[in-house]
Amino acid sequence: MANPLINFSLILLQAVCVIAVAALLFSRSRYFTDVLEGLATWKSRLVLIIFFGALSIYGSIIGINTSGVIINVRDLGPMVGGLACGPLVGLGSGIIGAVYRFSEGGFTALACSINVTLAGLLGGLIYLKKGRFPTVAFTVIFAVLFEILHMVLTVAFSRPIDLAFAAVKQAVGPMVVANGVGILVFAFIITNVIAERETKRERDSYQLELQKKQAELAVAADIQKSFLPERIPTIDGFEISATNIPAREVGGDFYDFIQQDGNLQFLIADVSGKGVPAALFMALSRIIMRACQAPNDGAAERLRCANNMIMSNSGSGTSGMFVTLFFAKLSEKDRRLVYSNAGHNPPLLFKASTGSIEALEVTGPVLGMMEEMEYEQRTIALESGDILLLYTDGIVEAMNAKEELFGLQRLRSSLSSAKRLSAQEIQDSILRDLKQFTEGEEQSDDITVMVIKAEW
Amino acid sequence: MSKMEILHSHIDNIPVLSVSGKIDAMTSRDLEVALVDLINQNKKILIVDMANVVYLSSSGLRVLMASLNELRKGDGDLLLASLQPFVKDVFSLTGAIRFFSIYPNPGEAIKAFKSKTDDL
Repeated sequence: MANPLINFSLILLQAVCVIAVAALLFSRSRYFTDVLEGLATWKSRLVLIIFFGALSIYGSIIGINTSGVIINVRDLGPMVGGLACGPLVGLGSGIIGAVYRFSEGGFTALACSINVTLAGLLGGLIYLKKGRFPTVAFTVIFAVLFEILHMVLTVAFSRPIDLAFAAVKQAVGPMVVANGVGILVFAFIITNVIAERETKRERDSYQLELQKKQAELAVAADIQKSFLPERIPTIDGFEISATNIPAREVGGDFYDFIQQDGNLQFLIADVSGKGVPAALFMALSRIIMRACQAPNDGAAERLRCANNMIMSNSGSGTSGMFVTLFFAKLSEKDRRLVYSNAGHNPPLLFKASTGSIEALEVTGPVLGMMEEMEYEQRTIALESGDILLLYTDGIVEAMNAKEELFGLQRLRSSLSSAKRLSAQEIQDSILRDLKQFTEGEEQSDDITVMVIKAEW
Repeated sequence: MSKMEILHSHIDNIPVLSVSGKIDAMTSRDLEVALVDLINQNKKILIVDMANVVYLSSSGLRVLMASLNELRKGDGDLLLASLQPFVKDVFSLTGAIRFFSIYPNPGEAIKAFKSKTDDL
């Protein structure tokens, strides 16, 4: 005859397979989900008690009767029920298992009944103490120790003691192995399900957060677009064109037009930083530039006012943000342009008469750094065919794959070669040259261009 | 190929960043990282030695101004030293010269800073 330890263990392992299926069913059931989420109802608890109770009865039936001792996996159901669902389920299913075992009789009936009840109760108490299903290793060790206790109690409660001792001697090995393996399967499946749910929950909440952020950014982008002029104004004797291409959903570049009694005021600006902070500061700067509008003040006064207002309103000292801004007033009547430049990239002026390009240099510091800054203003006359090109960093500092910058030189030649075109075409031509240069490299900064051309 | 290099040193426990090369759109990001790093370490006073800076773009200037603002918020300061003519032009043309304390060399910067704190 083969080694009885191996023989019994194999039969009990067959039971473990049934238990594995039970474990899968249980772990995917709505009742266990309820327990995991702390939403277990009396009904789901009752279902679980019956389930693990039935598993315990099955563990008895599959058992191998040897010298009046049934080698079995009766304890397994209530043990898992307790560990996974708490003392109520553990105890309840344990009592079911105990009643069945007691009804079978035999000289270890009392001891075994006590044992199976205790298995459920102890499992439940561990759950209560830990607040969740323990680790796989802990669970297996618990099962092994419990089976040893089971044997000790059987000896203690069964008479005649020498018979009990003999039975236990034969049963201890197979019972420890079978229950140990059984609970390993259970614990493995349950912890897997718990981990899976955890991951899914994290992923879901992350995705929800992402979706929310994206929706918010889309709204922010819409709002920011509304801060840019809806259409380009028309003014007699000039062609005007402008565009803004943010690098992200929202950006810090902007331009604006204000039309007033035969005059056109326009500005281009670039806020420090990126993303939402820059977008908010952009909105503030735009409103302040409009608020500082006073009928008789020049361009320099406008920037002085804006700078002081930004300093006092935004607490720029705390936000640490600033904005470069070029502001100009163009008179329709005599084509004179009065401008003031607060640290912005000097706009380029193509002179049709000479074919040369001048730069409208900075006439004061950037806005938002320090209070009480002074600005100068300059006046120039625009003549037929002259082209004024305003732009932001995003153009001259656009980079290609070789890490070369587009640069002022390329911008100048791009402007020169487009001199005969209309304002819109000049803008398109410059953007096309830029695109050709960067060859599909990702745009890292906002791009804004404005072209004003004096008609012939 | 590195267009800009930053050397870290200390004079009297004050961090000195010696920058050399071109500070443009790309390299200014590295300068920003270096400055923000020191600011995050709670350094109040930083010195940027620009003796070997041959080019400064508007993005580089933005980085310096942002750090200056950040430091002044905490009653600190960003001291600039040894500006070469081209770089100095960038500061004066953009008006940024008015925001910064600029010194002929790092030693002068520290002396000026110390005499100021002694007064307090």
